[in-house]
Amino acid sequence: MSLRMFILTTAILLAFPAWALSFQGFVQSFDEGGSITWGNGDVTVVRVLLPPGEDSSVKLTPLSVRKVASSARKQMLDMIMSVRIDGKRTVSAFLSDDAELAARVRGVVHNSPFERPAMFEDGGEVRVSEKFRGKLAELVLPTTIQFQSGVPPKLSTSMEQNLSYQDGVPEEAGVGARGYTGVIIDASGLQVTPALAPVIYGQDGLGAYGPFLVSRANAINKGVVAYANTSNPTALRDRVGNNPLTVRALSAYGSWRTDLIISSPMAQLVRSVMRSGSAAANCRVVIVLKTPVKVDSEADVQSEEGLQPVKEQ
Amino acid sequence: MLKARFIIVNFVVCMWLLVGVASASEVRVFKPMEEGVSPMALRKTAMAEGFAQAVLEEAKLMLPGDMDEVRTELFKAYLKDHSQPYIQGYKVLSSQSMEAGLILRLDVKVNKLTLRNGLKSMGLFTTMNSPQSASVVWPEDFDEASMTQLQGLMTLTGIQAVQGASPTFVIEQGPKEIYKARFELDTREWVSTNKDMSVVWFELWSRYFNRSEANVNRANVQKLSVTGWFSPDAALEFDRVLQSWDSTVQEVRLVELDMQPSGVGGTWEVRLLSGDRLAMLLQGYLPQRGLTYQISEDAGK
Repeated sequence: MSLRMFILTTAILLAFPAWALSFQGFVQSFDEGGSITWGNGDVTVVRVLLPPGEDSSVKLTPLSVRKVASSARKQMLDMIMSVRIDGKRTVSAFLSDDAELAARVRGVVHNSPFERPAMFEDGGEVRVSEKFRGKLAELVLPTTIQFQSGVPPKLSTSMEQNLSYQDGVPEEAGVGARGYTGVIIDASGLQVTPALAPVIYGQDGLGAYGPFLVSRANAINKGVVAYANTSNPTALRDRVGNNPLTVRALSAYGSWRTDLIISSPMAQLVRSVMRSGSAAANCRVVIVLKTPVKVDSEADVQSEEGLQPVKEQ
Repeated sequence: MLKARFIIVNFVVCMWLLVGVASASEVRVFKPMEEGVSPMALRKTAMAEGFAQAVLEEAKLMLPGDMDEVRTELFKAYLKDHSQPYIQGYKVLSSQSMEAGLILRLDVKVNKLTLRNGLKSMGLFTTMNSPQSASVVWPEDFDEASMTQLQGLMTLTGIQAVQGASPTFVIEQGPKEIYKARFELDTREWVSTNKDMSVVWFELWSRYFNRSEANVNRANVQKLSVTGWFSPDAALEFDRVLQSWDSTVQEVRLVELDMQPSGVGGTWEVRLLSGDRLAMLLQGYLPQRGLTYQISEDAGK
């Protein structure tokens, strides 16, 4: 192997470690080539460029490529703005009160990595991407969220009577929790809207996991939760470790169905898992959703059936 | 081939950034047990040494050249008593007390802006690569310890004593071990008094290095032009990114924002700490965002 190939291979292996490639998670598709990968936080818009002749309206010049990239970035900004931070607000609603912060988010999006075809004559695609991690997450996660407060939020009413289903009572809380390396919440039977800072509640109405257990730095760098479309622990190992606790969600909660309710005994066990080990510190929680849906990118508009606001319980 | 080169450049930039960040934050100190020293006092000394080490590592990243061994030791010794202003926060990661001594692991957050200003005042940016000539005058009956300390300060600051040169630093030893010094530059004069000779020394020399710094470092100012944005917000965001590369550029000033129908461009004046590092960071950041850049040396002319 030549030295150049060796350096290239090593660089790729180190720069893109296996965990970055192996887990993308739940993919939310938007119009015109947009998608948010809720496992790793990638926000991407891909636009296909046709070679000359196939579409006379698009001539493949550097200027036209830049126009396409600009339009893709605008779409990406709309997608980011439409994302829900929690049950109460979207990114757009949060930024509407702070013009300076909104300008910074626009700045980050307009500085987003951008790939284009090497030879314009051959067509190809323009891809712009950003990540709901690091700088972007730092800007869009409100500092008013009480990260790592340790004080669980409480629902105004207990859900004990509202939900008939309960999981089998697990082992007593605190007894075996130390062995669990993370938590998988299976919400695949429910209509749930992915959010940046969701809360998992027990049926007793008390928060079991959410921003109140996670530092702001970890929420920014790892995401409070990851969303996946499989509950297979092997596929989720990078996020939840070798021995995750799998819990079935009983219902989604809130106007936009961003939060989840689990049974009270399971909530107790989740609290124990979070207290022991490094599960909370590493945000080792995955929410499993059903097959991806396509939604419009308009801010505050969720057009899919099942994503309509429901009355607060 | 272009992609391969691009990946390699990105990789090198990532590795460089990782190394830079990691080396500055976590330090490990071992202090051997000394007779008559209480555990509390030993811990205090270990903490001071840990802070000094963290500040020194950060300073090494900022300075435009490598410090020689003697100067490094002198700087570290100085920082043991004077690192406090540069410490923004710290966390004790672990503390292991043994018969042989104490092992302390600290996560130290250094205030880079304060440190940069401190290094400027101390003259380290100016004298890192070539010493500063000055007249340094001390009394004939200066005691040996004071003489050693003065010579250490001269070496640390990079002052070469030349008879008759300007500026002039005159030091005297007053009663009760108080040092009094006078600093003469052109027609101006400053005086300082303190029990700690290093306080007197750096207080007076800061007058010189802060005053003349703009002229001294003008040679390191370059013009950076970037084009290819579609929005002025993007250029302003890049301004923040550029400011955050503080171990590469000492000062950043956006001098022009050019908004054309075809796109937005920006021009910055940057005072460089390392031109190579800046080129590497720009290469890792701009092309993948569809931006082009140019660096020229005619800033300020």
